[in-house]
Amino acid sequence: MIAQSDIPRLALASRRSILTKLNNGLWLPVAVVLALVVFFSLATDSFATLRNFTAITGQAGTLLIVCLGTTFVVLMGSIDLSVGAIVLLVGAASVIILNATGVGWLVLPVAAALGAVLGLANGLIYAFGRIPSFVVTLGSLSIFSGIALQILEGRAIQFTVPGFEEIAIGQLIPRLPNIALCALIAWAIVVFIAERTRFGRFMYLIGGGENVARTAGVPVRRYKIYAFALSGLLAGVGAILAVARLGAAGPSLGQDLLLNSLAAIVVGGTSLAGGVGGPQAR
Amino acid sequence: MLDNGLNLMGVSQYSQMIVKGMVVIGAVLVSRESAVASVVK
Repeated sequence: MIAQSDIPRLALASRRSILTKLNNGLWLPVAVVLALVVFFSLATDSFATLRNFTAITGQAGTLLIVCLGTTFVVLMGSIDLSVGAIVLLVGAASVIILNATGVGWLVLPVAAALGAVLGLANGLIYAFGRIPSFVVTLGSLSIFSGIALQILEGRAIQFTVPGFEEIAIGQLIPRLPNIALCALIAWAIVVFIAERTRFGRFMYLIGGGENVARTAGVPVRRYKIYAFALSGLLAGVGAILAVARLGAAGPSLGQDLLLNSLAAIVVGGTSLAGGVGGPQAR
Repeated sequence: MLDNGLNLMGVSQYSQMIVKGMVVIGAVLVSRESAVASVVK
């Protein structure tokens, strides 16, 4: 039971906690976003409108989902350069499956599983081959892109299932596209994983010092594989939502995700050296 | 958001790449500076 006299003290503590967070690095992404909003609002009339808010949230949905997975990989001091290629391959395969079977939204778990398998392949080669992650994922980027372009035969393939686009561009909440809603749900789940589970704590520990983590009894290799699989899984989810939003899978799908995801992760406060940051600034 | 704002301003695709690269490098520099400052404190 909280005594009446404790309430001002608790409020002060909460305010201090927010200020501490702002001092500890949360201020940077918040300041960047606020500065951009102010700048673009002044620069163009069409920026600060509800219609544009809907467009921005829709565009950012895929990026957020992909970043959430890649954040764990960066957090443990590695890097995943293949997320864009995973999005391309999963998107291409999903459209083929969708058009062949007409399963509708059930293709979502299939895409997630396919993404997880591709991420798992990255993780297994990285962890057991003891090859630097940027080399492994640079190689897999090329392999996955090559397979995807073979599937697509260099052209965009539209899906033929009517209403499938609703999982991305429909609006369960007015003005908020479903893809953005999915991204927010994914963010909440990933923050919970990072903050409240053993997996999340081990990611920080491995990123902070791999040898220390190993000495402390953390199964480093296994958790590295898990991180890559999770990154692939979320890239798969992002891929199918991107396809649903665009109406097709084309050769340029996921092309800009490599730079944008790493930029978003770094600007969001996660150190490329690992161990600092995460899906929610701490 | 950066893409969206730059598109609405009519900035060309190539110039957008330059701006995005500068924002990324700037953000990393600022975050490094603040990390160094917090260690010094």
